[in-house]
Amino acid sequence: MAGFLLRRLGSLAFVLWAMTVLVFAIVHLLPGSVAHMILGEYATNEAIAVLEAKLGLNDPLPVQYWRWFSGLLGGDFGQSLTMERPAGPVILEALGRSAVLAGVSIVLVAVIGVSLGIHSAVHKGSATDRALTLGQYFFIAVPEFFWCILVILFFAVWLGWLPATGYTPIADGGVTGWAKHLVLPVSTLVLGLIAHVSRLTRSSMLEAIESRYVLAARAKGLPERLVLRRHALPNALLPTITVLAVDIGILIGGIVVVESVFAYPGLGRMLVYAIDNQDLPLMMGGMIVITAVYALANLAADILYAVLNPRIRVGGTAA
Amino acid sequence: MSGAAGAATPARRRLPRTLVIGLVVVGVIALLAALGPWIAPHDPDAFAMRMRLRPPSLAHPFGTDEFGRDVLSRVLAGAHYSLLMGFGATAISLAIGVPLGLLAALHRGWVEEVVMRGVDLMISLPPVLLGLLILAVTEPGLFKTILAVGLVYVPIMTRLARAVALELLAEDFVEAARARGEGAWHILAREIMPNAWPPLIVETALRITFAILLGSALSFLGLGPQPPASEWGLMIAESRPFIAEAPWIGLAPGLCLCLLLITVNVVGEGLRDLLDPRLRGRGHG
Amino acid sequence: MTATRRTALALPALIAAAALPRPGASQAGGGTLRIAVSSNLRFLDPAKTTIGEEYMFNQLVFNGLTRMREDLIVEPELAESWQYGEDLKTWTFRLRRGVRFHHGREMKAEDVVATFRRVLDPATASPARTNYDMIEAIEAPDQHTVIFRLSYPYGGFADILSDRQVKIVPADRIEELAQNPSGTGPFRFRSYTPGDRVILVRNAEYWEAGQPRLDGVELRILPEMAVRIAALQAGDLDVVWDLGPENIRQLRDARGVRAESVPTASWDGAIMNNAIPPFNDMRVRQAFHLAVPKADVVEAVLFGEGKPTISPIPPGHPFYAEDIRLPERADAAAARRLLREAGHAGPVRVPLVIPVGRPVRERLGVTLQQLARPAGFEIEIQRVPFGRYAAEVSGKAPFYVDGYFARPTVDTATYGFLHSRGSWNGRLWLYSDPRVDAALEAARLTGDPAQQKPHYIAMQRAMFENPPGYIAYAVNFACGYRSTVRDVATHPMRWFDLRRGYIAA
Repeated sequence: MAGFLLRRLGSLAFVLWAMTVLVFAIVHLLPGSVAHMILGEYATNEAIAVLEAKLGLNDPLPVQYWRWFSGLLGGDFGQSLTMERPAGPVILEALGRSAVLAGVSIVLVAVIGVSLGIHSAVHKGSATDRALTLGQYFFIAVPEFFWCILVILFFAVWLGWLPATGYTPIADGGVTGWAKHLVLPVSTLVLGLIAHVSRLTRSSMLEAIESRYVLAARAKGLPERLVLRRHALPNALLPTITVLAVDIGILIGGIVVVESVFAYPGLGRMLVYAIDNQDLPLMMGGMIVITAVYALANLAADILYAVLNPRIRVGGTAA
Repeated sequence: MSGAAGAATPARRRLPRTLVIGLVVVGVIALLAALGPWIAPHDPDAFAMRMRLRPPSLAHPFGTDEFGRDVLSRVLAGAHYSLLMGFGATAISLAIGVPLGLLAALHRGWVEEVVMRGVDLMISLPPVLLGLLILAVTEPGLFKTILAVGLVYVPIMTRLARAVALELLAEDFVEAARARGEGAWHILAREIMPNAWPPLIVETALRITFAILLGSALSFLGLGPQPPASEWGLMIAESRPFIAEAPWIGLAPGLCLCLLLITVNVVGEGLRDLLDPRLRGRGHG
Repeated sequence: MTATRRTALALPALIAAAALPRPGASQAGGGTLRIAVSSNLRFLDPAKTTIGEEYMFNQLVFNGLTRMREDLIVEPELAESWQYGEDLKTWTFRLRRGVRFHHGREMKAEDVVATFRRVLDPATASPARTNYDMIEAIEAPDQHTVIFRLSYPYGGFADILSDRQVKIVPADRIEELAQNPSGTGPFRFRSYTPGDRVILVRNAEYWEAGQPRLDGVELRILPEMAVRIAALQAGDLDVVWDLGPENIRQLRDARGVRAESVPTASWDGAIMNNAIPPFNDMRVRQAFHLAVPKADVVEAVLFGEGKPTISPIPPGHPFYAEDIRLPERADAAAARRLLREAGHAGPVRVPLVIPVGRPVRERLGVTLQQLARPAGFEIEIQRVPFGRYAAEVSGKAPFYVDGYFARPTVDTATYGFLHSRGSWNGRLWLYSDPRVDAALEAARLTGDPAQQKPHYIAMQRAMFENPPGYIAYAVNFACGYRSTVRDVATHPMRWFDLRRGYIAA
């Protein structure tokens, strides 16, 4: 187990380091010019030259990389090029807000998705099961960006029910105010994923119910509920856990669009701003943070899976 | 769980109803997409300022947009982009990913390490971000988007190909082939490929859904086919200022996109039911 | 910028102090005004600001030596009065007394000197530096007097001091400008959360008594227009800044809200590079103008919220050349003839770059593409993020869509763009016409609007015959307000003067 853990951590470290190089390379390949972005319509050739020198953009690339990377190791994300303030706090505050969105979403996805899946499996063939299956087909296939537009149209424009602006700190609006503003973005994020997770749970639950272990337990005469809880459920949840981790990646992707549409000041929006304005430290810092979160989630899922499924620990076959 | 099929072909079974329905609908959409420019009632690019922002009517079943262009015609003209993105990108990821995965499975050791580390790296970036980065470096356009989406999904295909190949390599009949002294490429062609294609096909079909999704998301962000092309994601993006006044401009392409995605998904699931029900628990993004 | 203001300037006498405090003006309690804007503010330091949101911020937190009203008349602000020498090269400003910065200290001449020194200092990298390159020296003979010595006569000097980047900043708080700015304006900076909002609170010690009435202002950053409008209608916001022309109709019919639209001198156009084919030939540029009537463009792109124009001088301006008739209908045949003369037997193929994320300008590009086709222009659209404009587009691409904010004076709106040695010309169209150069230079030499007018008319005539690019229209500026918002006017320079505004209960 220790060996496995060490190998995975090593892999994680490698991935994170390689990611800094990749991100740095790509970002500096981008043919834009942050100096022009900053100067906007006032950009003259000499103004651009002066600004670029001032921002240290004329140093050789390896020097710039090392400057950035060594700062990163010490927790310093550098200075935002367009906003004249340290990039670190901007990124981390945005991360915190996105984490709230993601956290609430994942909890909802896990709880609702798993319950729906189990219910569906246990009551296979019932009207609820069929309705859920139909719903699942539908929700999985709707693009995130279209969802946002539908939700805005339906709730904010037509019904005028929920505030469409994205964020109220608890200080200003109280907990209800804060929660109200989360409803739209969270609902948009979770619908597709709940469909996904519930389908998966249903299938693996069905498999587990019909498996040998369960048949044996039933043959022993144990009550149905006990059979389900002790024997079927744990096996059913295994794939679900892996999928939840992968879903974090999908969630992150969805968060970028959802935050833009609902004006939620999270990491996704910050990244879009950084890319649009060629703010290199914000771009790189934001991407590294997202990658780290994604990689850590995958690692957690891998570990969890290995812990729960002894068969994997030994060989390391299927990806 | 070792495959019960072994070297034999899967037992004949009735085609699932869902698969048939799905294939028919996809076929119809593909036909409409191919014929699009000819069966469209109006010129998709023609301005008609007096008819701007009209709601759906007999003359314009999907209404008109901010330039007076017929939305139905634009939807028809733009259908082929989504199909091209889905199938084209998936084909690319197959063409690159499968050989890589097989390579990794056959030549364990440092080749495998390099390939798998590269895969880990690319998988660590969320697809939207990866696509954004790839496209930000070059000028946008349909083929670049297809290529970008294809590249994004190479790692998953590589992983799958490798996993399937590894499982098959552990089978008795492969051992037997090795014992007979057959070379690696021979084993690949004769023993592995014929048995590997069911899970690969299933994954491919599922992958098409995601490729269409990612492609239209990137077009939504401005990185796909350029205006006045009526790619569905782009149409949705352009409809945003008019969402309250003229929602049909965005709803029409959006609902068509959903229809396409659902049916492709249904086909994928149907194929999986047909070819390899074992995989029921494993489909993922 | 009107004739009356200019003749007033011609008087050597002192100009009376403006803005007498209103007797009996009510105290605060006017509520907090929530304004929706579309993007992050990058700079809180006035010297570096370049976007509309930042300009709005400047106006609320800082003051300049002069200010520009909604009717475009420039009046004194921190400068009580000023005088200038006959040669228009020496300008003496008397500063108001008793004005305090938000951190308590009184505003003095040294602050003015520091403000201008840093704008002129290349190390600050202020985008407006070239606007003030005529300043040769600044002196402060006493604590409330500042003298500017110019290297060439400039009649509009007091006008350009009302501009966005030269708001007066405290000499002792320069470093804090980036994150905690202190100014003399009606509102104090409280906080800025990038991606979320800027919070300003009332400056209780503001030097104009009885102002402001609002308790505070919030600039909320909401990228989606549909969301901003929905929030306005729901009452979550009080003002939507920079309403798209397509949304004005929506709000005109809605309850509890109103839309207000004013003409401005901000313009959009398609920049044609005069140095590379196909637009290096004047006939091709003319052919394009014959093929695409600007009135149609205004209708298609702006839903009528704008006016066709020949140059950055908008229709309605006293200097606008009324007698020049812009073509009302497309003349594809004449256009084709010109193209053939220029050596193009077949269609002219050219890519047109449009900026991602600016829907009005994207529409402009698509419209030009469609309307120019019958005359033989085969245009291929390329959407490029604005960040790439500098590297690939500005001054390099043969044909691209762009637009520019209104400037405080006609000279600053035209010279840099259209004079062959103008600082922006090289990053735009690389245009050169000796008649235009002569007209611009002559106009600078006089401070009298009556004498300037004929020069600018001559400039427009030359531009009509030899267009630098396709300057399509002067666009209106519109905002949406809840009906409870009172005494807030829509300003053609796209900022807000919120000193008198309040929210009715």
